[in-house]
Amino acid sequence: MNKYAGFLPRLGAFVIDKLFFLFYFLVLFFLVLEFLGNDYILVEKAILWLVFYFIFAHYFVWNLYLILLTNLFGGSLGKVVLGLRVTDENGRNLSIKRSAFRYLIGYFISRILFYLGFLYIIWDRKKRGFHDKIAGSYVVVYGKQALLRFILILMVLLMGSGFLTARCRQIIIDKSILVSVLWQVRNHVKRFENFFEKVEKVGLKEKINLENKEEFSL
Amino acid sequence: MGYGEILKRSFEAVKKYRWLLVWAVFWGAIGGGVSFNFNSNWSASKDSLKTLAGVDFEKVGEIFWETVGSYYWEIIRNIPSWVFLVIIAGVLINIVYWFLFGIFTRNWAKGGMIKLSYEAVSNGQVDLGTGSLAGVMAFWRLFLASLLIGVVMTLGGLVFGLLSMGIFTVGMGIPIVNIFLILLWLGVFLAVILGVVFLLLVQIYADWSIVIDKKRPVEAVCEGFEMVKRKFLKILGMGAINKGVSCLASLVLFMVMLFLGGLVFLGGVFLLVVLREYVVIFLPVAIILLILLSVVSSFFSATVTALRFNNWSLIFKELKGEFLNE
Repeated sequence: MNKYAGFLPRLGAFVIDKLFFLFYFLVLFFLVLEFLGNDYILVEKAILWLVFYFIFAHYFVWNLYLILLTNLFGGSLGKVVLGLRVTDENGRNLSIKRSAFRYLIGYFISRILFYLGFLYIIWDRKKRGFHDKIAGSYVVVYGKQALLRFILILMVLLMGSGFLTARCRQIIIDKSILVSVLWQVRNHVKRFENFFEKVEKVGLKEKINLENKEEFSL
Repeated sequence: MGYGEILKRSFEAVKKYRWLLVWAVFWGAIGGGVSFNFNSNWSASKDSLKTLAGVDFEKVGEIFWETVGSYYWEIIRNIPSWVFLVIIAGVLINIVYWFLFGIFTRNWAKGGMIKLSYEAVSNGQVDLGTGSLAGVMAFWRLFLASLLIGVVMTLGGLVFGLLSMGIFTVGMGIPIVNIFLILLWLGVFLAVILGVVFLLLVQIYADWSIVIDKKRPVEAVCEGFEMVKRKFLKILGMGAINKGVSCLASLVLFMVMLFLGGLVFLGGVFLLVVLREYVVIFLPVAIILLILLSVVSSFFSATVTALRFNNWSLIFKELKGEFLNE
């Protein structure tokens, strides 16, 4: 019988998954920047795209990632890297249905009382959180040298994220023509000047802290 | 079994099984039970915020949007129209998903709660796995039963509405007829209220029947109808006691939260006025206190919810004749 995985390795797996998703967002951001063309509102447009993604699709992508990987490989990337496996009572990988239940309903339930459902792993004899109990799942350890793998994958993800961040920065510099950027700054300043002028007109000048007005006047 | 005995046994089961309490917390959080969730009256506080320090923030907002907001409008205008179609599709998918998610979790939690309360009063196995499995097995039938009762209630409401319109249209202008019709309408109104209470009790029985006896929705509703017809006063009495317990618990919770919340607030005001530099320390402490209050209130509500469900489980057992040997 495999050993049950405790709170810390599972937290480590979670950190890797989150970092992996950060890396994935940077890839998305990079692709969006690359294919949006050259204009002065490039960055705003790219951010808007990501906001849309976060509002409408991220929840589904994140859960699909967890559900499918748990069904196919016995756990998300973080769990696989750390040698952990999510199994049912017979030691098999969870079915799609049970996996979906674990992540969609189970995680929701575990989060309800300020993440108490996850913290319960610390006290439970079989190291099961509320989501495990609800879905009838167990998280067991089946690999070795987990710490080394954890450090390695952490370094790879951090380096990859750093490289992508630098690349995105370069694209923004290359694509946003300097003149356009200056024009944009000028317009911003003008708009804020108009804004404060109008505020002044309706007699609200004294009531709003305008100490920074000089900064906008340039 | 008297109501006193039922309440005593229910309370003992609540004390004995902690998982029942945990499940009741889920049930409360998903949408059932007594709750006190620190909901602030935003609409009331908005007015005071609006005029804070004499500044009309709405006006400032308008001006800001007129001058700076147009810049953001320009960005939005640059987005191709097909993107908006994708967004609309995204919104629809989200709405449908969360609607179905809500229906599933609510009925699943209800099924689990019924099963666990029944097991608790029967000294059976009470854990999250048992509750979850029972919820999964019963959620669809619970939903259909509630839909059936809901349809009957809606139809009843429609008939009552039409009847009311008919009564008042016929009786217009003739005083004696009017008095007679108003009395008739009051009679019908009372009958409708009675009907609604009757149907609610039928639904409670049907829910237990679906989860415990694994009955189909129509079968469970019919059985519930027969049972409530036969033992109406006994079940109504339990419903009234449960309602009373809920109201009392809500009142107690409200008073306690008002007192403790008030203490935190006054402490905050005191520190802000007298010891301004300690506000950095006070803020996290206040947040932790509020979280603790929220947890305590959740568990208090869960205790009341578990008690109510245990009461119904005991009544269900009694109606099924399970206490005849005692």
